[in-house]
Amino acid sequence: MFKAMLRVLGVATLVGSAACLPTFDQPNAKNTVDSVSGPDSVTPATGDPAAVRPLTPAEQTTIWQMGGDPALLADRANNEGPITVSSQRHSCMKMKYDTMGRLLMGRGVAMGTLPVMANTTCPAPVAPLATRSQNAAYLYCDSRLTLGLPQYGARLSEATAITSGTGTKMMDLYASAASSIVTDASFRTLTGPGCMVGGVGTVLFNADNTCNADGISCLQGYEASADQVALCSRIVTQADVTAGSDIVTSGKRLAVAVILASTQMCE
Amino acid sequence: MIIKARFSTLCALGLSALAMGCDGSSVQDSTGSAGSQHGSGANPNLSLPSYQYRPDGTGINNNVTAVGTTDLTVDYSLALRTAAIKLRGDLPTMAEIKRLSAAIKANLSDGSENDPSFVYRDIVKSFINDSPRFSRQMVVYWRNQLRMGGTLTGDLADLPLTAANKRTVSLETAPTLLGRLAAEGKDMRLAFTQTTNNCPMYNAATGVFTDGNCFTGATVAGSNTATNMGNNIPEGQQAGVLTNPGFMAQYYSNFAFRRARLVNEVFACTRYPAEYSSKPQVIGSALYSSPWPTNSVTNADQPPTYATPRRVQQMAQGVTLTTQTKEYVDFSLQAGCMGCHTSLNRRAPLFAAFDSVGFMNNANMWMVHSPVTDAPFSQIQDYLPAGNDTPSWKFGVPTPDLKSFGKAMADDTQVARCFMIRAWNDAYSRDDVVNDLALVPDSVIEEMTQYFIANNYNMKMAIEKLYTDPNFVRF
Repeated sequence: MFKAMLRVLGVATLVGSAACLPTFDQPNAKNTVDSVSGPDSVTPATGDPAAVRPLTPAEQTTIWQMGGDPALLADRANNEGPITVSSQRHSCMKMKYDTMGRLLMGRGVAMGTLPVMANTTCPAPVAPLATRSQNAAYLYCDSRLTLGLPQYGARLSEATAITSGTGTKMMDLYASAASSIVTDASFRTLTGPGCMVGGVGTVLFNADNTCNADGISCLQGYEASADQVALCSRIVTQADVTAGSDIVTSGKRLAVAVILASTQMCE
Repeated sequence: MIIKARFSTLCALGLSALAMGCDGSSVQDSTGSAGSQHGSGANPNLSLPSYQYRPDGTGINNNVTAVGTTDLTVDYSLALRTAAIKLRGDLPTMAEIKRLSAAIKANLSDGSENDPSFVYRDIVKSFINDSPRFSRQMVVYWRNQLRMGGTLTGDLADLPLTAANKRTVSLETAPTLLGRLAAEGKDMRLAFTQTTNNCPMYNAATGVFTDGNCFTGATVAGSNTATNMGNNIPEGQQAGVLTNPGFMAQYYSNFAFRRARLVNEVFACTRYPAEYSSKPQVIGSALYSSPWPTNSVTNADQPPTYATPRRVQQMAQGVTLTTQTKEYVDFSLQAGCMGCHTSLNRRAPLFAAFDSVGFMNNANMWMVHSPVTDAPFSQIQDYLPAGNDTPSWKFGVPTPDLKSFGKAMADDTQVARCFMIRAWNDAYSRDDVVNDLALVPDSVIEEMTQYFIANNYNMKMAIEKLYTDPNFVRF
C-alpha cells in the first residue's frame, strides 16, 4: 500500500514538474501578421486578412525600407535584448564637443576662448610642432573635426558614436590636459571652478601621494569608489618616468589622464 | 492552451512540490503572449536573453534566467552626472556631488536632505531652472535634431546664378525657436502654429532669447548681398518652423521633397511611407500600403500637361531661358513609388515656393526644380493630377495652406509622441530614432506622451519627469 502511494505520488510529481519546466509552445498558426508597436505602428487591418504565403522580394524590400535591414535588427536584438528593454537602458553617447571644452575648463584647464567654432582661429602651436607635445587648448581647437564639431552645413547632427579616430583624439586631449589640470606647485589640489567648495579647492593627491576620493569624484563627475581610489594610487607609484620629471609627478599625470579618459568619453 | 491550463492547475494544487521554479517565467502561452516578458521562449532560434521589465520602478528582474541577465542598480550619482551633462552642459559641481553623496550615505526616504531621491530631484530641478544654461542646452538639442546651425548662402529666387544674387540666411533661428519653446515651458505645438515672432535669436554669452520676425520686409528687387531676406510671409500668416527661412534653405531640393521628408522624419519620427492603409495590396512587384487611391499622384497612366514653355533657372545675367520639354517624373504604382509619394506629393507642394535661401515667392512662382531635362521649375501637375491636387497632411486631412498644415501636425498624436521619443533618446544617450533606428516602443513612450499632452505640450515639464523617472537612475 505504501509503495502504491509512493508510485501515485511519484507519477503526480513527474507530471507536475513536467508542466513547470521551461518550455516553448509553438504558437498556433495564424493568417495575419501581428501589429507592430512603435513609431512604425499601423492601425490593425479591419478587412479580410491576406492569405498566408512567403514574402515576395518586393515585400522584403519594403520591409527593409520601413524598418531597416532585418539581419541588423536581429543582431541588435540578440546583443541588446528586446527593444522594450534595451530602449530603457542608458547607452554611450559621445561627449559633445562643446561639453568637452567646458568640462576641462571647469576642472582648471586653460582652454582659451570657448566655444570653439568652425571659423575660430586656434592658438599657435608650440614649435617645433612635430616633436613638441601641445597643450590642451591647441589640441581641442585644432582637432575640432575629429573631436566631433557638428557639421550642420552637411545636414549632419553631432555624431553620437565614438569612432576610433575620435576616441584616440579624446585620449590625446585628456592626456595633454592632465599636465595642467592640477595647477598648484605641489601638484595636489584641483582649483578649477567646478571643483571649488566654499572657495577651497578639492584635494586630488594626499600628502603621501595617494589619491583622494574627492578629487577623483570631481574629475569624473560622480562619487569615486574605493576601488577607483586604490587603482589611482597604484598608478601614481607605478608609472614610468618621463624625461624631466620624477616618478610621482609622472604617475600623477598619468592617473589624471586615465581617470578622464575612462570616464569622460560618454555622456 | 487547454493542456497548458491543466498543467498549471497541477502546479497550483502543489502536486508537484515540487514545482520548484514554477514561476512560469520562461513559459509562454500558445498565443505567443507573455505580458511584459520577452525572451528565448518567443524565438528560440535567436537565443534572445530573457528579461522582465517592471514598470513600477524596480527595474529589470535579474532572476529570469541565467542567460542575458543584467544588474540594474540604482545609481543616483551616475544619473546626476548624465543629467548635468545633458541639461547643463557640464559635470556636476563638487558641491552638488558632495550634497548627493551625503544623502546616499544617509539613505533615508523622508523627503529631507538625507533622502537621496529628494536631493537628486532637487538638483535636477535646479538644472532645468538654470535658465541661461538650460536654454543653451535646449538650443543645442534642437540644432542636432534639426541638423541646423550657422549660416547658409544660396541663390535668390529665380535670378541668374551670379555672385550678386547670392544671399545668406541664418540657420540658427529654427533651432532657437524650438529651443525657446522648450526652455520657457511653452506649448510645443506653437512650433507649427505660431503665426508671428518665428525667428528669435539666442545670445550664447548671456543665455537670453530675443524676439525676431521672419518677415523682414525685404524684396527681391530692393535687396543686395548684405540684405537679410526673411521668408516673405507677413506676420500673422506664418506657421512656426514650417515657414522658417533657415529650415527651408537648409533642406532645399528638387520638388521640395527634402523639406517634406524632414518634416516627417523630425516631427513624426518615421521615415516614409508616412501613412498606411488598413488593407495593403500587392500590385505588380510592389506592396502598396498607402491609404490614398492608386493613381492619385502624377504617373504614366495620367500624364501631366504643361503650358509651354516651362520656366528654367537663368544661368547668366540677361539670358532668360525656357524649355519646351514635356518630360515629367512618373511616380509609378508598379515600381512601388506611390507607397511614399501619395503622401509626399501632397505635402511638398506647400514648400515649393521657397527658394534656396528660404524666401517665398508669393505670386505662386515655384522655386524648386523638377529633375527632368533642363530642370524646369516644378508645377503642381508634376506632383498631383488635375482635380485631385489639394495638399494634405494625411489621408482625410486636407491642408490647402501651410497654416492648416501646421494645425494638422499640431493635432496629430504621433507628433506629440515624436517630441517625447526624441527627448527620451537624448536622455538615455541613444541614437536617432529615424536615421539609426533607435526605436522606442509605444509601450515605453506612451506614459511620457500622455503626460506631455496632459500638461499642454510643455516640454520643460516632460524633461523634468523624464530625468527623475525611477528608470532613469538605474544603470
